Amino acid sequence: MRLLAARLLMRLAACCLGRDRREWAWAMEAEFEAAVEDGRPLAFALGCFAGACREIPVQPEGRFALANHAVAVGLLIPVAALLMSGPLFGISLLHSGPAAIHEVVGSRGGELLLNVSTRNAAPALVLLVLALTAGHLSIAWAMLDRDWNRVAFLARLNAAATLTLVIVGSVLFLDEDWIAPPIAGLAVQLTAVACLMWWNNQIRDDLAPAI
Amino acid sequence: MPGSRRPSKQMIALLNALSVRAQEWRHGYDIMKETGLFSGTLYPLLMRMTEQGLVEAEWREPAQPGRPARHAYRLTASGLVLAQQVHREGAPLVGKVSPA
Repeated sequence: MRLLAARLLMRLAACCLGRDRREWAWAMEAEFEAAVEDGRPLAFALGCFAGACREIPVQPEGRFALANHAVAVGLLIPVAALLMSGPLFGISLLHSGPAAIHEVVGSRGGELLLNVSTRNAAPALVLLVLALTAGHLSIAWAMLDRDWNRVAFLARLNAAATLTLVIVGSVLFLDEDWIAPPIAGLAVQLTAVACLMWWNNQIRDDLAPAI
Repeated sequence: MPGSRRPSKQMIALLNALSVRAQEWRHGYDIMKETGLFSGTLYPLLMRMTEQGLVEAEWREPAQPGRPARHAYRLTASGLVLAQQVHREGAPLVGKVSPA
């Protein structure tokens, strides 16, 4: 069991070291056999893993991976959760006033976002917001996969969904404050994703001669 | 090239260990045992020193058949100069250091 855990840690250490430190990962793995013979595989593997983790922010590729995860997990997923909370619980990211789509469809009192003549649009609005939520989650997934073509495609879809939301909101004469948070979220998301894509291309260009 | 900062005690221990038999290629695990450094301290140090041109690394054929090739290390000329300089400036470390 300890040996298995140690081997797993060695694999993780190799992953943390990345492409340009691959030779060092092999060097550690070769020495791991000596540590196994010496009866100290876990201590050796833990050390290698800790050392490899400390190398992550030192390497450009590691810094990129950290930033990529931070944007995906720290920005896109919370924004998706907030977007989804609007239709589900009436928590207000979708609007600045006291009403949420949920309230229009549901029962709570207060100022309604939609009136009697426009309330039929509520399901379509909910659907659009849920599509945006799914878009955010899909972009986060694609970013962690480093599939930048898919990221670009999904970002275009999200932009189209947001634009549709704006148009539908305008047609329904909704309070313009209602649409500001999704647009702001989209702008932040697109900026972050564009920066990451540019950064990824820089790293790929830098590594290209070595591959 | 190395900066003007004084090397850390871990680096000094490594310089001392490698400068004892400077021409000899040494394996990572043997260096760990000799210096008392943890693998998590030794390997980043070796990476840094290799990039700075203080240490050279080479793949060596395994002593026993069926085993993987092992990375071996020794000081370069610059590394040796630094080791001698460190040795002159302060008393050499004897024995093992506390790993960082």
